[in-house]
Amino acid sequence: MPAKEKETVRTKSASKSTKPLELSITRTFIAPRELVYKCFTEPEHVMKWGGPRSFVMQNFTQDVRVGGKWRGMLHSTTGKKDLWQGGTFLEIDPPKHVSYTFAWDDDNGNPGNETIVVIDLEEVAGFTKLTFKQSGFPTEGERDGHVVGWGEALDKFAEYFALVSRGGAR
Amino acid sequence: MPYDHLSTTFAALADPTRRAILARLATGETTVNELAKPFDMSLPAVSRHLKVLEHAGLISRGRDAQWRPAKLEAAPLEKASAYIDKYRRFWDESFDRLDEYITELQLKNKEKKNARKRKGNR
Repeated sequence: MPAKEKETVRTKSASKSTKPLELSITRTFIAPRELVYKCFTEPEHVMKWGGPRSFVMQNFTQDVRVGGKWRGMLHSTTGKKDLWQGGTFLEIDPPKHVSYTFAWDDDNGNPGNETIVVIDLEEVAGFTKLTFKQSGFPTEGERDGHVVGWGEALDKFAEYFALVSRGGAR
Repeated sequence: MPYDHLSTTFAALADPTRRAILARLATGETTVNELAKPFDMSLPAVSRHLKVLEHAGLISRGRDAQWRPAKLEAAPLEKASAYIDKYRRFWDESFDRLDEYITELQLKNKEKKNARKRKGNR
């Protein structure tokens, strides 16, 4: 019994804490929810918008079912290094919810630190509200000593963002 | 390797108890005893968490061997949040493109529908 009490107290205090490791973005699209959902879950659509400006999503494949894999390459249109990314689908509930793991490849083509992406779509009067969340910087595996992979992924990402910033993308 | 620091910061922040400790320290420096209270944790357990946080540079501790009050250090946290901001820009820009694509897609669909209508009217 004391152990149980301890657990409760700990959870309570943890939930009170700030969440510095979670990224949350909301957006509203003037489109039906089915269409927005398709744009996330059908490769022909993803390749039309995936990735920031000055990158094109290529070789994008996804097996949209729980446990299914996805993978794609961000090809730089300004002659920089191509960046591979991929992951596994965790939850699928069309057309309102999908979540998957997300990782950049390291230099050896192995997935680096895995973050978790959660996408929720809510339809409001013909509009679709997207709630995007990314968390898990970094995973337990990474914490337990595979810091190199995480570091490499970070390096790549930082390198990429140095490029984007210089390009004045926004 | 400047990103090693960032890895250490994220590793330290990955634990909810340690984040709660940081949240508590954000209100002011305090002792291990005070920190241990809301968590119902043993002092050595709290000390272990503090060691991880100290190693990551997220907190500093007083020299007094008896008290060693812990204090929040802002710099590494700012770096971590700057990193997440980079991800935010990555997605913001992607979603800008998605918005444009969806508009384009719907225009095309409308045109197709209208063309079909015109054909049907003939």
